[in-house]
Amino acid sequence: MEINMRQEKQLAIVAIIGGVDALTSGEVNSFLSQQIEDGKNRILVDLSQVDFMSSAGLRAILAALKESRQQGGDLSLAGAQPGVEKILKMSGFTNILKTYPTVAEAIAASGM
Amino acid sequence: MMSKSSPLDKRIEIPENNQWAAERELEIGRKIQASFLPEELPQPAGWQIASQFKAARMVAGDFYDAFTLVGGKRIGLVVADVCDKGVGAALFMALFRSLIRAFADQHYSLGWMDLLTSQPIDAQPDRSVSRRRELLSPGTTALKKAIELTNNYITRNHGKTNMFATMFFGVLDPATGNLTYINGGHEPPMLVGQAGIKARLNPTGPAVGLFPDLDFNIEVVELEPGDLLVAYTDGVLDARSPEGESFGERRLAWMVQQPAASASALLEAIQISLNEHMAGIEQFDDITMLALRRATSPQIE
Repeated sequence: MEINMRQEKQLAIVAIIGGVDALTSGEVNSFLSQQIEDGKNRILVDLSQVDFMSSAGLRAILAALKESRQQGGDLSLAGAQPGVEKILKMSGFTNILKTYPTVAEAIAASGM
Repeated sequence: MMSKSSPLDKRIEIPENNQWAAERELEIGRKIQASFLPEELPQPAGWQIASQFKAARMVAGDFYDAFTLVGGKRIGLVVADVCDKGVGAALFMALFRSLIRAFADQHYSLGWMDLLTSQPIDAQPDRSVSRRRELLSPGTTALKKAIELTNNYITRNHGKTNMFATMFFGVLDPATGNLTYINGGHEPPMLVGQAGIKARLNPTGPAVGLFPDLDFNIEVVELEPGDLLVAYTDGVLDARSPEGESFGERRLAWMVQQPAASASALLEAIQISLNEHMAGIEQFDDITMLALRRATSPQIE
């Protein structure tokens, strides 16, 4: 798994590449935490290259979502593949955070 | 201060001790965790309840439960999957299981007591009829309360851990075959009739433990004579073959429609099929199944 980040005005776009499971979720968690600690509390997670997400991955997303909101920011998701999308929907994550079909749509919706 | 053993001895000795101690502790944990699963499943007349449970590690994040409520008038059925793995998930398994059981027990008892004490006797000349009708209702609020209180307890007291669980919680009325349920973000149980799969009991709310005060809806489904309900965790669907192929929803759907002598025989057959699919490679997620079957004709005890 790999994590890349770019900044689009105030929006930190974090692209995860690979699978997020019990082995790799710790890395996702600490990466996102670090960004929020550094003041980048408006985060968009690009899931377009994530082929697998386990409940440990969802937990890392939940942790970052709460942290970003506590700092006055927010976290949203974009580009989930069908398998990941199914898990996000089933577990109710699509009701607790914003999801977008693509990064471009997420950026447009962010009004920046 | 100098120790008697050389630094090298120490390096060998201590990790071995630690490993032995850690393994022993895990073994104790495994045994205690097993006591959080039901020792026996209730078997109401005319019904079969069976389970299969295979942990991927020493301790598990999955659990199932089946317990009687209001003196056997209702049966609570739970299949759940606590997020993440290992000891953390195992601790939360114990918590989720206990909260659901305790809240359900308390609120079902309260619901029935309210009914028996609050109903003005004179206002209801034909008490037996009105009471029978109302006996269906306390169940629904108690079920909702059990899930909502568990959700709020976890999020308010353990929110910082970000632990949650997907959970199917159904309450069966063995007399009517009505199953009232909440599916909190869990894999949809399959309801199978004579002609195949009749329904998938899709989520009626999010996973339990995400945020306080989330909404959970209640659904009701009827199990007719001969019907079968199979609830399971994603460990069944995600079980991998040596080639990396998942067992998948289609295989499970096919298996649950095969004739079986009993609910437990069916789950055993699915477990055998899962074992063949995995062909001896390491199981990476817990596998849990719970089956509920209604007899084709009223059983004579």
